[in-house]
Amino acid sequence: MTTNNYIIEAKGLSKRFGAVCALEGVDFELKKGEVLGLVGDNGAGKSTLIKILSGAITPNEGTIKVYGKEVKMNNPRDAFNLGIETIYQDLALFNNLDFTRNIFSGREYIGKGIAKILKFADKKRMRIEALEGIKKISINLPKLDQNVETLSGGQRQAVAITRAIFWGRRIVIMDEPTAALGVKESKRVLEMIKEIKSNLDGIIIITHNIEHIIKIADRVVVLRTGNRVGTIDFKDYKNRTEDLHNDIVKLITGAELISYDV
Amino acid sequence: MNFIKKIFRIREFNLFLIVLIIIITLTIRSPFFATKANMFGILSSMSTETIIAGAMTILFISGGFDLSVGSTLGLCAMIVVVLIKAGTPIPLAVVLTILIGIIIGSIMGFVISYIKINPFIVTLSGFLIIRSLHLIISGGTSIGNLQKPFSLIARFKILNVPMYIIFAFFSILVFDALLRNNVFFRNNYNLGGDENSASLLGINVRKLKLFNYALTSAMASIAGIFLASKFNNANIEGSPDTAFQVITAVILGGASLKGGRGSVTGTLFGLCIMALIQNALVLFNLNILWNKIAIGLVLIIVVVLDSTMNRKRLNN
Repeated sequence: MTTNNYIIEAKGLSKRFGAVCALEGVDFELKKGEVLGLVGDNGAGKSTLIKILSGAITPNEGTIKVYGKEVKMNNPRDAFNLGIETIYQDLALFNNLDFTRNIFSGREYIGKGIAKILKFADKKRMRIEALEGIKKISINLPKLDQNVETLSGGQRQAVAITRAIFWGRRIVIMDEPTAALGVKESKRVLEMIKEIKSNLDGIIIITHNIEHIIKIADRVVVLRTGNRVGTIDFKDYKNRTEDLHNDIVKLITGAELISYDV
Repeated sequence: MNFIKKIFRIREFNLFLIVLIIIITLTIRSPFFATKANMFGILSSMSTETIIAGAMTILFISGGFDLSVGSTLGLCAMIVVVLIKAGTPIPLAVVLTILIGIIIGSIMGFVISYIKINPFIVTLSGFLIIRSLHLIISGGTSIGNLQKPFSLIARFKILNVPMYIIFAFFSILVFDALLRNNVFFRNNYNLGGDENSASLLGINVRKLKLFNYALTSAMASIAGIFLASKFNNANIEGSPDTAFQVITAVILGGASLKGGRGSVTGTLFGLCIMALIQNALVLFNLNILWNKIAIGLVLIIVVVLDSTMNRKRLNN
């Protein structure tokens, strides 16, 4: 029985693809209530680590504990059932359906009376709740009856996140949520993440964008070429944003800062 | 203005307009069009495809398709007739025949859904194999001349409309309602949109696929029974064109080969357009062989228009 407040605790994760070692002996932990950034350059192993945590691939070595219990996640459904939802860059939304149907996919409300016997969906109630849900986390409302493929990147993120919360997922992993977004939309998504923090037990965000992660995370774990090279707790950097930024970059690149004083 | 823009985006509305325009044009240009006899003829010519089209629409929405329906139709028409001639009571013969349709569809559905073989290959093989079974069971000739009661199935009239027409349109209404409202049938849109996500969200994708194929073949067998009853005869030629007809109607109606889109209402309008074109050729004494050219043209025009409008909308 674990006495710490880690909701995900992974030890010694390793993953090899043929001769390539994507991850080597990586420990990883997500504390309850935190937004954790996972950063690193291309090839650092971020994708691999996240695929392991979301059940898409299995590690060659290592153990994972979720809410204190050791688990084996052999497919995304296992992770899903444990409360972990992963929102990938392509978002895996149903492009051919509107946002209400996306949010309630696979779990539609059934009406009353005759509708109950015929198993007819309660479209009205779902629409109302979907709207309420999305209003809570984002002021940027999607066009109600159009297919989500017509929505902007930020709106699509909002739909994906609303769906995760509706489904009672407690841990959300977001893979590069702002990568394809412009300045305004990125700002909205970051604000949205701050809003939903209280609805979830923990959030992991993979990103290249240090500026963005500084705005919303509590901690950052840095990977480099398959190893964990550092952890930075933002508590230690109150009002020292530039130092924070630099230290993160230092860990990512492995380079020492060059002094310009000659 | 916004409302007008919005409604023209809906495929079903545009199809409805086309149907309306054709009906108005034909009424004006031909005195025989708007007669009871002609209307009945149109509905009658549509009936067989209409029975199958609802299920085929659902199948397309889920991302699948079935080329074998014509063979199943022919085989089941032959089976029900053979059974009755051998002394089987009519209700039992009908039930057994429908059961055979379900089994055929289930086998194909199993191979497609669980063994994961391409539906084109599976249903094409089905088309050929089932056709051979048809020929074998028939012993080489059409079989007919059954007792009166059997023809009642198709010809029993309610309000002067024969059963085979009533059933066809009733089944379309039912499938439309189910697809729009029933939780299980609605999952087809998810399945067709993104199979992986659908599976992740707990939709039993494999079961749904198998069900769709079983349903389509069942409707094909029912269509065969009605056909045999209507003509009191199971012919040896079978119905090789049926899949082509039904699929054309489904695609006209808005379904995409990729899945995730389409509606039974749209398919119904597609069927109407095809039947009206055929009727127009007959009314104006044009060579009936132009039928397929006309339908092919309509199909291409509608699909191209739809695709251009779609691209414009996405670019905005």
